[in-house]
Amino acid sequence: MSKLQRFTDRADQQVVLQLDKLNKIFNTGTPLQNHVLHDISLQVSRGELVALVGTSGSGKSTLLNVMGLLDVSSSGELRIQGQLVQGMTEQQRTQLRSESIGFVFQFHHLISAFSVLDNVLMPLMLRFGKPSAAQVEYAQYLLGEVGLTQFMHQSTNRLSGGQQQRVAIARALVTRPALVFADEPTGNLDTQTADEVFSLFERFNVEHQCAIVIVTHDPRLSARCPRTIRLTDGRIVYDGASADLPHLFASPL
Amino acid sequence: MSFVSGVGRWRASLWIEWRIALRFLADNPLQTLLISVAISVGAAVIVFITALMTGLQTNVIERTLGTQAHIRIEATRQHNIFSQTPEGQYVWALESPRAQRLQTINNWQEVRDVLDQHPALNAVSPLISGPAFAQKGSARASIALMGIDPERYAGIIELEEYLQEGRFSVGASDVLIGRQLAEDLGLRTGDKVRLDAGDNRQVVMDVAGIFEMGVRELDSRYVYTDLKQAQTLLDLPGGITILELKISDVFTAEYWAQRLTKLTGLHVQSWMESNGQLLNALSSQTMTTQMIRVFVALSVAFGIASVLAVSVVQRTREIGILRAMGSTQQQILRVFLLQGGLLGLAGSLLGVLVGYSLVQVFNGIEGRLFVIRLQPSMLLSAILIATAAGVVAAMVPARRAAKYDPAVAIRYV
Repeated sequence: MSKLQRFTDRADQQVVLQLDKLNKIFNTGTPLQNHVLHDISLQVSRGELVALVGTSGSGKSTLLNVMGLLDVSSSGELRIQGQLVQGMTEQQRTQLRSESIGFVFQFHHLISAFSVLDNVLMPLMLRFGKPSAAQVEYAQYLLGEVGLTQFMHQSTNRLSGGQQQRVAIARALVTRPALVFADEPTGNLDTQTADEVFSLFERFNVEHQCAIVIVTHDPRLSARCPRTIRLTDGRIVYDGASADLPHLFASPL
Repeated sequence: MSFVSGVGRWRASLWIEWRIALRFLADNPLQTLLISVAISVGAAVIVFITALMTGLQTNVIERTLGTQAHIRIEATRQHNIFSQTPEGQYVWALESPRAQRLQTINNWQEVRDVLDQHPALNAVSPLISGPAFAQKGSARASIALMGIDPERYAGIIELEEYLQEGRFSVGASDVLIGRQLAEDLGLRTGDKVRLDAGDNRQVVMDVAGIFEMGVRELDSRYVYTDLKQAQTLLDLPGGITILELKISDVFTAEYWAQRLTKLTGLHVQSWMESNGQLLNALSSQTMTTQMIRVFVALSVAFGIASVLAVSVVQRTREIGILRAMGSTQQQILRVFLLQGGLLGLAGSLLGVLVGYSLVQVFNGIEGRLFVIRLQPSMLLSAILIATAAGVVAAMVPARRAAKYDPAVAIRYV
């Protein structure tokens, strides 16, 4: 219980993400109506590292999209850093997203028309325009941290999958977001590369104190997160310390 | 405060939109090149056809007005006046229209002096014109006898420029005749010619010079002498029949003609009225040109729209990424509007260059009828219109890109 106790303590700290009875229904009112998320309630505090697991089709990605403001919920409340998202305009959501949230996707999703450095700077450039010297310096520092300084001015096409994913991590962190969402960031990497990339998440989680929510199928990696949330058929069936995950749910599949 | 930061944000964000738009265009060089060439062909056609038509019409008008005044003022035309009908009675009358005999403009010196002060008129020239015969031996030809004040007349028609042989002289015994008349009567410079205006008013004069205006009617009929000699011959001592006027903007002739009718109460006719058919032809030509231009511009605009529509689909995933990275819908919209504008700009710059070269080639052709003059303002407006058309054409695809659902777009393969 001590681990759960510690968990509760954390929840008392600054809450960056709060969901209250969140539902997501696709194609409302049509024969194809599909209730994907059922009354999801959860909290994530500053500096947490959370694994989001579940079978495919369990609603992980939908939940991530809703929490990341890429999609809107059908009912319920979502608060990012205390701000209620429901009732915001598209523009306000975009602004909140660009200020508070970083994304890392399975297929890295870099923009090949731009250099590695420009890709990292993109969230800042979209928000502030021409980057300041300090912003460029910070992006270079992050690229150094992920070990890609020498590729800075190259096209992203020439990087390996692991390298591209590391660029994506640097990009997600460049705005110093309170929250980072990663959707199967190691999904198409080999084991060793996946380990390296995951280590970066752990490091930035500690160093930058940003909360990270990682969707993963890899039980080794979810075990490395202090907290695991497990979804089944759009409902939270487990939310607690990864170490206490019942054996029944240990397998992510 | 919020306004200032809003402006700051707008300026700041436009920077990245330029960058993304340029990168997207540069990232697909073949597509960009192909559509730019298509746009430039369209722009070149528009520039060339516009220049050609403008040149042609300017030339036709210059030629037409080179041998006639912009506005002619004649004496009020005569018409029958009936005595008043007693009340309660009706009169059936069979009226034959009044013959218009040669008559002088009353107080023409004063009218001339008033018109001289008129700011819109560049030249005022009194003229006496009437029918006569020219005779050499037994050969006779009907002519229009023109008595002119040579200095003033030069402001209407540069007669001296048309002179082909002899000297430019009209006077008591000197006449200028047209090339055609000279051939018809077998006259050469220095020959004598008898002018007969009827009622035994005859005079024998020297052919001082022979002119050719290039209009057969004029070259075979016009005989120029000075005012005094013509007045004597036509039996209108001290009188003139026509005041010819020149203005700066030839297309305002009709407007000024109506103003002058009210001012002088005389019979005023503009060149536009007397050349109605020509103007009609010119305006239908302008309309045809306009239609060609509109259709070419439309096809160029649709070309831009379709290329951008394809590009929007190709870049679905990148648009999704940009949205996830915090770009607003407006930013995405502007990225694609900018691309449309840039394509229009680049294509039309190239097109204007090609059109310019085509015009130079045309002007270099031996034996061309006229020279096309390209006005910089026309080139500039072609570029501006093409750029604006590019932005407008981009509207539909850009709106589509902006409306993409980022969660869906990002998974697009």
